[in-house]
Amino acid sequence: MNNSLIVKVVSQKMVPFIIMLGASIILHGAATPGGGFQGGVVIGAAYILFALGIDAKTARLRLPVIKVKIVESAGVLIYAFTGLGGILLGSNFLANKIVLFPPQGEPGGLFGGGTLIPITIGVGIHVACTVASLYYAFVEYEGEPKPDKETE
Amino acid sequence: MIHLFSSASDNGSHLQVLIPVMLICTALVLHLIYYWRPRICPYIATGIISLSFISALILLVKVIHSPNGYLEYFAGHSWSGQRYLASGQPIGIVVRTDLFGALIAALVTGLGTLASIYSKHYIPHTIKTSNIGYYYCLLVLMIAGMAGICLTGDCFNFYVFLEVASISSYGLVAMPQTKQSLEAAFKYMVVGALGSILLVFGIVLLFSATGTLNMAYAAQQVHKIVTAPPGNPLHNFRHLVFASLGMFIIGLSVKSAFFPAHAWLADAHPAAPSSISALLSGLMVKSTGVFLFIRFLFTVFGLHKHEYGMLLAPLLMIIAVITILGGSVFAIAQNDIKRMLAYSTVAQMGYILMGVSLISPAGLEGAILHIFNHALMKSLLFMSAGALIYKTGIRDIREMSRIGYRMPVTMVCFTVAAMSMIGIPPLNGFMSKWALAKAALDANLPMLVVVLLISSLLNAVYYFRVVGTAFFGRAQQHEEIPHADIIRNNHGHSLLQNSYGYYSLADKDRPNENEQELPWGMLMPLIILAAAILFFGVKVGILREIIRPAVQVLWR
Repeated sequence: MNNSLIVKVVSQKMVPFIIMLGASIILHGAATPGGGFQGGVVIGAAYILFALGIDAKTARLRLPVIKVKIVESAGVLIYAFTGLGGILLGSNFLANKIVLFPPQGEPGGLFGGGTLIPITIGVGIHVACTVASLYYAFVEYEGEPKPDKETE
Repeated sequence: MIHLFSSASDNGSHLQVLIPVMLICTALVLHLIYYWRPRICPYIATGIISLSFISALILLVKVIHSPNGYLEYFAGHSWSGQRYLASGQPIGIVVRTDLFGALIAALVTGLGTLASIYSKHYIPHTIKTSNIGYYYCLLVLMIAGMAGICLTGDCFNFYVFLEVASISSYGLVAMPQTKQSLEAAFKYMVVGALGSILLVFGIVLLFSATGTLNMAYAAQQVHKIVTAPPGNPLHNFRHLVFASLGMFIIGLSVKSAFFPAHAWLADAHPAAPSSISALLSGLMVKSTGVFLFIRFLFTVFGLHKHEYGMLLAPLLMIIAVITILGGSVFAIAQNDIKRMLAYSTVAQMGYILMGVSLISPAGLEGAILHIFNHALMKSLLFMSAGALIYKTGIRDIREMSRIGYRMPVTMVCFTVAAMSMIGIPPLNGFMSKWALAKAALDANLPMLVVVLLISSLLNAVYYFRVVGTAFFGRAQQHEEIPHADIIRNNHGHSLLQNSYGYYSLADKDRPNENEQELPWGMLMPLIILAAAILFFGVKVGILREIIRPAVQVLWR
């Protein structure tokens, strides 16, 4: 890859701002357009920009695949356990407005969604990590070592 | 602990959502567990699937004892809340499990348990070691998707579960990473995606016509629209309903491999690992295909209530007859045993469609009975064929002479399933064919019985060919396969490529060559399934006790 200084510096400096945008979309998921998926894609795109700026190997050292996978699974588990919380507190699966955390705010406000906040955070984490691991899958594909001699 | 089994304020059970949720959560952790503790990964998978099987059985008993014949669970609702709008439309996602769904869910998780037991010994010899974690992850996800389809009562919810099951099955077919399996997986993915798109389109049209995604409420709306007289504003929506019905019929025909959309099945099912072939043929084409076919045609569109049912019945019947005869004839032409079994599945799907196309309670009973019985038979056939390939590396029927003496238990299990498939009386295949034939006679269509008999004859031709070669074939020396290239697979085992391009392990690398029969872990699922075939053949009354009320619920 070309070692253009401008590309390298600008892509590194942009990353925190893009992540903040993504986090904002995720946190306001209950009240505004967007939500876990959209914000998660933005955060994943920030990672791709970061990895394109420096080369893929260095990026991989910063964020190993196995860590991505762990956080990815954790996102789903956040969602699932928010749902199970409803059952444990004596109501139905994914029931809202019965869980003490997060605080219940005004409808339309940041905490107005009740249990939607942990759910969108879980979805956001999962989607961000999925986008990152898709990038790994495409960049690091080296062809299959197939036991195949046929030439067709 | 008490409210784990029944939700406090509804006529529902938490198990309806807990079964898919626990499977999905475990699946997403399994591949991480494999990273650190590869040994315990199969045990966890088997454990969670058998736990879901027990849950599904509890759920089945609860549904049988429920007054309406179904359980309704309002996901996302708290104790006291409004459940319905003033118009009677339910709020939110309603998980509605009727007897039919609960029965198929128990079948899915039960066969899934057996397949995952079977996988423990079988899989390390079929796929790369580094992929085993992903294999179990996808296996559990696929079972979660299929169980979810059976338990839900919401149009979009079923679609999500259908995609969960389908996408994991594309990955599982590609697992061996040979040329055949990759090609088959790609074909399967393209055709499967086509079917899924048609289904989404059908859901969209249904939603725009009825304004709801809840199946039970959509059924009421469809009934109002179809029976509305000209001049009523609802009358204008009937075209949307008909278009939606068409989309569902075509999309689900692709998913359940009816003629002419059967070709993907004959590639995808043989190329997958045998444990997965068993689940694909036994469950996947049924839960994502025929199950939804019956669910939508009867529960939502009310084919038995409206005049378009009478128009569609002959069309479905023609497709069924072509599927039955075509599948059987193609199966005779195959030399590869797994490919033969795949074509046999196509023919059997035709039987089920034939039962549906009669549009009578008796026909539907026969179809559901055949769904259940065929799942048991075809899983056993694929698992024992996989065991033959695992032990001897032979896929070609012509090379199987006297293999029954080397692996007696496996071949006896295969023979039991084959006899049942042909329809020999004490076994369960006979019972469902009998029910279908009786339903056809009741509907005054004796030609369908003739088709059933011809197809049974054709079944006998290709199944007795295998059984006859295995037990009574000429003893031949094991010759080197001509033009076999000895190559190395991912484990460093030598592989022989036979004339069909499939790979099998070379003699010296076969697992436990001294031991004649299979390891106990692989033999146990085969014996359980063979016993189940015999049991449900003799005690078919147990199934009928469940299926008759299930049909009554569908028929309302």
